[in-house]
This record gives sequence, C-alpha cells and structure tokens, in this order.
Amino acid sequence: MSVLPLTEREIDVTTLIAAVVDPEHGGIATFLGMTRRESGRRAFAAIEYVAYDCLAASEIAVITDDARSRFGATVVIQHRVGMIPVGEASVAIAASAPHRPAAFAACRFAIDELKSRVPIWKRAHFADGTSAWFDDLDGAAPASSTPGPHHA
Amino acid sequence: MRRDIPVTVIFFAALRERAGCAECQIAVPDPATVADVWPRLPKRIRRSDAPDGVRYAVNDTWADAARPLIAGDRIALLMPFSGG
Repeated sequence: MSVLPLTEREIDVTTLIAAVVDPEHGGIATFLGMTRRESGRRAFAAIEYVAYDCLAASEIAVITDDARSRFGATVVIQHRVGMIPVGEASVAIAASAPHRPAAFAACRFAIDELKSRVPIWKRAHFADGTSAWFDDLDGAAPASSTPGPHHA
Repeated sequence: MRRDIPVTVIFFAALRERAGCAECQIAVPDPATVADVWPRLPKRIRRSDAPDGVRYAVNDTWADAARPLIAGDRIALLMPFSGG
C-alpha cells in the first residue's frame, strides 16, 4: 500500500512500516517527530503545518530515492499538515535495509534532509490563543510571540 | 520601448498572512529575473530585503535567483522551511 507523503490525518506508523517490509531486509528503523509543549517557553497548544504541496511531495520522493542510492534502504516519509495537537506526530519515517546500520543511517538521513529541503512551514499556536509563524524571521510577530528555533 | 512582464507571485505561511492572499499579480521590467520579484512586492509584504535562506520556485520547479522570467510565470517565494 502506498504511503501519501502529506496527510491531514493522524499518522499511522504501522502503515509506514508495512510499506517498507522486505524479506531481504533484516532491520527497520522508524522516527516520529512529535509536537511538544515547549516547557520553559510559552506553552504551545498546537502546531499548524502548511506545505507547498506539489513541491513538498516531489522533494520527499527525491529524498527517498537518495536514501535508496546511498544506503540501499527502502524509505517512506509522511508529513502531517493542518493543526496538530501537542503530543501527536507531525512526521514519520520508516526505513528498512538489509542490516541495522543502514536502516538507522537512512532514517536519520531522511529526517535531516526533510528539515532542510522540503517546503513545509509551521506556526505555533500558544495556549493563550496567540500564534506565530516560525518563518517570520524579521520580527513581524510580537517579540513575546516569536518562538525561535524548534527542532523535532 | 521597455515593456513590463506580468507575473504571479505565490505566498505561503508568514508571507501569505502578510499579503492577505495566496498570490498576487505584479509587473517586472523586461528583462527580469527571479531576483527582481522581491523588491517589487508591496512593502507590507516584504518589509525588508529578501532574508537569508529564502528559496524560489517557478512554475512549481525549483529555481535560482538568476532565472529569467517570462510573462505568465508563477514565482513562489519560499521562506526558510520549518517542517519536521
């Protein structure tokens, strides 16, 4: 079953794992990026993700192709878009390979590449009802609403 | 006589919020490249020079700032990504 690169639904990691099962592959590594509350800052209630859909989907396909070339791994990536409550997954990756080093490496490669190459943006929705885009770098948002760097 | 080239500029995330719309039509002088788009945006959208890390796509394909533009091109201005 094919895995959609972008979805508005809750991510089901078992679907991703099923998509990379291969009788020749002895290891499957998975990664889930979760929305978090950001303790120590203003608490998030949710994170909203938007994507440049067609380019995000094609770039995700490039990353999975690159992972196959570099590591001999089968990789699927799914990113959720829309409003995601704290504690739910925003992105999931499953990577299978003949042995575990390649599976781990491919999984790490895929999330690192996704974060730098895939046109997706997020907005923090704070518990107090305000919100701020993470890409609003020139101080457009009120200082108290600027969340700063955030890593999955 | 120089003519202007009509193009469409597409916004996402913070730029879309500032623009109040998903896209807008602007005119750039002929000849023009992708780099000529940002300075011609309304000030309420761009606010300053193009930030470090901004990327571009033309007609849904990655493009660099030196790419020449033709009438009808759809240029996406992509602020640094924050997915994951």
